[in-house]
Amino acid sequence: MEKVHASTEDKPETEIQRDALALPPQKRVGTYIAAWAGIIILTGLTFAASRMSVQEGRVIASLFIAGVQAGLALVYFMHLGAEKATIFKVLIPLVLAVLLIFIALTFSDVAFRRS
Amino acid sequence: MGEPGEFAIGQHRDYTGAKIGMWLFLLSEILLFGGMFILYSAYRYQHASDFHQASKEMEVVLGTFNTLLLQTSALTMTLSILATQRGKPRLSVCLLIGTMALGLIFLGIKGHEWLTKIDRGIYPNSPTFLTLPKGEMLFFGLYYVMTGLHGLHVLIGIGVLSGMLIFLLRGKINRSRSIPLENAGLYWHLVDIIWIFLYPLFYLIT
Repeated sequence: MEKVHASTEDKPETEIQRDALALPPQKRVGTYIAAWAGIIILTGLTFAASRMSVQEGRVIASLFIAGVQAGLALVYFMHLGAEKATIFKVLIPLVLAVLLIFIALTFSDVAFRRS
Repeated sequence: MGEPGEFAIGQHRDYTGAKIGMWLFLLSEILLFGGMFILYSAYRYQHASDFHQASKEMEVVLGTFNTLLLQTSALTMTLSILATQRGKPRLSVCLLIGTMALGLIFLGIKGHEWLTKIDRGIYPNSPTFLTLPKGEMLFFGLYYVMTGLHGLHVLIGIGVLSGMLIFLLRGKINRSRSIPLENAGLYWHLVDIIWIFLYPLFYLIT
């Protein structure tokens, strides 16, 4: 379990209300700055990777890094990792699965199209 | 008695409902942009060398700077929400203004990029544009549509954040009622995430 507040003074008075209302616990400033630093470093990595002479796998590498950056933003900035309601754990994968089906159908069409 | 809008016993607050409503909207946005990413990928698959050539026209330094701006604005947005939740409205207001300023600079740079391309005659249906190979036309068409739609989202985001700023200044958003600001933040982060994918696809994959 993540330690949310460094001290009792630091704890907002509304924290008990947050618990009662099923709100996700607040994170510390350091957690957000670490997530932001991670995202910035990964941007630098994508930029560096694009300057490499190796052509193969560059697109996949860039999109993989973008996926990790999006994951960091979703989990830390958008608090998906801390949401308590089950529906959040169902909705997002469901939509991503729909998108994946669209991608698969479109590419099977494009790849096997004649002319 | 607490400040105006402060939580009172018996007052109805549906945090989960408010969040799910926002997430449903965001998921529809993901599908909207997802369709465009599929279109980009399919055309790139069919016109790989033209896309490769066309992306050399992109101003990588400006694109990278814009990416860093938007990612930093995501941090200031999150910290603004945290400041509100910790009962520091002044700090929250400053961070929110910072977020909007970064968004405006992003739009300014994006506008400069568009104008540079338009000056060079690269815009849909221009005489220069019509002489380009089909794949390059598709690349620039997708560039204008996708970055244009994203820019519109940034502009709407700034509008929403301006509304939140007024609520903050009037005390309607405070440490016990921060859900509207949190939802505005979710929208801002989604705009940031969309750019995270647009950046390598248009600027870096040459």
